[in-house]
Amino acid sequence: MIMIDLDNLISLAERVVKKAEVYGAEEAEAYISWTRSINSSIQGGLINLSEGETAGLGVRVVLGKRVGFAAVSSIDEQKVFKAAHEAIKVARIRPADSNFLHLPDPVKRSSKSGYFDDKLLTLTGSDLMKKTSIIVKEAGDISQQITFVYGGIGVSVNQFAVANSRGINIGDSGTGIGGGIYCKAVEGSEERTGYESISSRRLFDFSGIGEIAAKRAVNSLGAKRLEVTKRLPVLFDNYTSSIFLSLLSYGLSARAVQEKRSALSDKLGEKIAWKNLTVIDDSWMSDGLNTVKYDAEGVPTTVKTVIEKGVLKNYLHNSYTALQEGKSSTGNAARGGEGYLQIPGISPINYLILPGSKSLDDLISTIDEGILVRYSLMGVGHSNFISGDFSVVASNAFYIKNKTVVHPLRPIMIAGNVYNALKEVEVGSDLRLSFIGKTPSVLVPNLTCTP
Amino acid sequence: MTLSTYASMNYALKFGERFNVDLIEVRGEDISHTTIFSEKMNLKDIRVFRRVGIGIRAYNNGATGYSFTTWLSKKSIKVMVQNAVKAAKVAGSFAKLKLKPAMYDPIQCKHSLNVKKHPINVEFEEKKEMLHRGERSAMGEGVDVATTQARYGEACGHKYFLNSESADISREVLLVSMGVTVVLKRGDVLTNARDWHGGSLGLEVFRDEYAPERLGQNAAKWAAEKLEGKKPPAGRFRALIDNKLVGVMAHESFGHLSEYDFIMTGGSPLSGKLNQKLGSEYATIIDEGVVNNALYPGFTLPFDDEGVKTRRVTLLNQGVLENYLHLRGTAGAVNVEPTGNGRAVDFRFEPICRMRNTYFPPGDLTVEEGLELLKDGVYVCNTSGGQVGLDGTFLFKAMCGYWVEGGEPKYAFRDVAIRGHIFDFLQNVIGRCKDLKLHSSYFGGCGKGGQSPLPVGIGGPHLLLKEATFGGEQG
Repeated sequence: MIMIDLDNLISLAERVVKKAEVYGAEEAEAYISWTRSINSSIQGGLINLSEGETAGLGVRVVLGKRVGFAAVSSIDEQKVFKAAHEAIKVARIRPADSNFLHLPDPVKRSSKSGYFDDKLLTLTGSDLMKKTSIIVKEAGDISQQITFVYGGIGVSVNQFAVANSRGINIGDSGTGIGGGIYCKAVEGSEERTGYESISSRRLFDFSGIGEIAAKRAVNSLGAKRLEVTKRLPVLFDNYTSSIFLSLLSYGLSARAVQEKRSALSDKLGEKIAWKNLTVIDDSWMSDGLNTVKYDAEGVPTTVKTVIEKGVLKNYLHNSYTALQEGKSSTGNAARGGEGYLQIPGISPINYLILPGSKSLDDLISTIDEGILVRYSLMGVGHSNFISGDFSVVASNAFYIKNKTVVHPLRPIMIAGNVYNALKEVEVGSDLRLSFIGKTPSVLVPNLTCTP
Repeated sequence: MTLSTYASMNYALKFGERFNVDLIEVRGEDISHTTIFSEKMNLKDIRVFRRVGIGIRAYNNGATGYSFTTWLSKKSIKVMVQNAVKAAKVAGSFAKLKLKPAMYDPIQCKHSLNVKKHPINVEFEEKKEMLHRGERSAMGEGVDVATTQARYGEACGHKYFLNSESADISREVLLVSMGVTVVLKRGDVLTNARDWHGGSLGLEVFRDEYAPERLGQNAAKWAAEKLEGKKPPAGRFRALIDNKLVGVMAHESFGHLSEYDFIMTGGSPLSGKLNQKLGSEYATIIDEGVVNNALYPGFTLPFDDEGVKTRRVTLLNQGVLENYLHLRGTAGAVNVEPTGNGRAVDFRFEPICRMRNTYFPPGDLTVEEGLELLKDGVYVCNTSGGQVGLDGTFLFKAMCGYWVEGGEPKYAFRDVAIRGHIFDFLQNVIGRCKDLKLHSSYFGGCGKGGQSPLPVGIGGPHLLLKEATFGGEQG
């Protein structure tokens, strides 16, 4: 894959800022991102192979207390200058935000980039297609019960640059590869699914994941119905435990705290979780999938303890919320997917839950009757992020009786509240890397389970 | 030095034709988006962005390779073309299911939409005022109102298509929509409701029954009814389903199952059922690109993203499954006429099999007659979400619903859900009303294969069912 020169992106961002000032902006910020990717997939025999690049610019301008934003999917100079002009038009019609102070100043502190793997740049569509066909084949070979296989592998390299009129002019680069596979197993009228996915910043050999996904589907066959609705201990494996962090992120955002939408408002220094629970937002872990040297506003990222031995230690800030409190940003400004289209919000970089001492099996052996939830959950996005109430469907759940996994269950609904659950959780030792960070299995002693 | 969108596409096509592949297609787009969001009459967010880029697809040996770029320089375009050709050759050597582009007459055409009040000619202030008009009327006397929200979205621009068979299409893209939401609170009870309209239309559509005031009033009325609402009965009842909910059901729980990629690979429950009777004589479902906009203002798609003229497809005709929805490549593979269902959400993606306007055609009953024939049962309207299984099962939460006795709505429900299996649903259709309405939303398009939100038209007439299963969420 061909790279683009990061210094060119940074200097383009600087030129856009200058141009916006010429057009009348009091302050201006340009964010440019560039991504090149190759994706291969095989869906029940249909092939998809594509390679391409996208680049785009988002420009933020300030007129008094009015902030305007516009974006364009291009790094062509004419088009990006036009976007700067559009942003000013938007700023003129927006209502003033009396809380807005200014764009971030340059911050001098050291921070770290994630691992950049040059080997990923040499992969071709043909390489990915071969790897994809291997995992798809191994899944189909597991059993005649496997009736449908959908697998894919994608690789990408990305760069971004930020410049603003206060002197920020930075950028960073990253690489990533990911593979996923989804299988359907059928026996009579019963149909179950199995799934596996792995993502990494560095070259990874995916062989074996097809077999894993297929076995998960097959091993979920013969499911029984949970007899009645009851409150039970629920053990979330290191795939599904990320639900707690997804919900927690909303409450940790300083914006939600300042606007009194967070259940964690006014709780700094208070005990909010189990005594041994420590959660860190580690922006610098070398293999972390979101690791980045600067955040989406060009502020150096940091490593911060969010919860230490159950006590709430820090909220997450971008420059807007930090300036409200006269602090410096924690470097958690984030723009989400297709970043140049978004105004910076707030997001963790990589969570790290400090592992406990028990393996998944050790945790199972503490349960007399309960549920083991594996691989994936549906409906996390429909939770009430303000209150922390969730109601999710587990498609790969298993019944635990007398400290042993007895049989698979038909999909069950699990309901509870994240802030209540955190007070009682116990965490395992089996950290797994995902886009939320590194998380172990999590045992919650008491949740409502509905067949 | 960069080229214009159209010039760069021509350059890509010329360069692509040097390679030995079966077919080259080049797509381009230049579309500007504007969204405006207002809450409690305060302008919360305004967003403008422009998407410009091109993509190229090469067919080789029964498979395709795709590549795309936003960087319209000759050098970058050459790299893109080479990547697509390479990808097609690799894909061809792996493909077990072979695609074959169906024969068709290449189209040369410049298509534009004829609207009175094009949104690009309307000042921002007027669009903002539309939202505020909607919110003001939703607010009413302000009793129990916790909040009001209104949003407006527009996409305006062009999509272009060229291929090595001499197709050359330029078509205008236009989608506008607005909606009003109201949240009411009384004691601990919170209810909300929303009304909206939109399509490939000028802003003149937002008048009469779609005037911002009407959207606001409807949302307020429904939310207020829900405040007084009762718990719905669970079980099987006769049912009348309104235009919006019928549309979502036709799209989500039937339309997707008829998409040929899914027939070909995934074991859709409609696989192998062509010419079989799956529903009652009233169960007719159409998927169509261009519907008469004067009668049914909504979404318009004259050509798909594979350069195929969109054909009217009767999926289900009086209960009999007559057609599937095709890509050009799957139509050719099974030797049927292409339907014009190859669509991509933007230039970053290869076209996949998608719907256009999917609906039950109008019948012969008035809505009053529909209620009379319902006699005793459940009347459900609109939807606030749901889930569908690829096996044909579905669950939709209605946005509002009523218990009807002797043809008269007696009381509203706070929340009600309809669930079941699509075949059971189709067999129970016993009447269609005359009142076909179609809609399209900038905000809530269709999602499939990571491509979302793709604009589609949904809607239908009121539909009468002999029996359907209702209940709370866990019903």
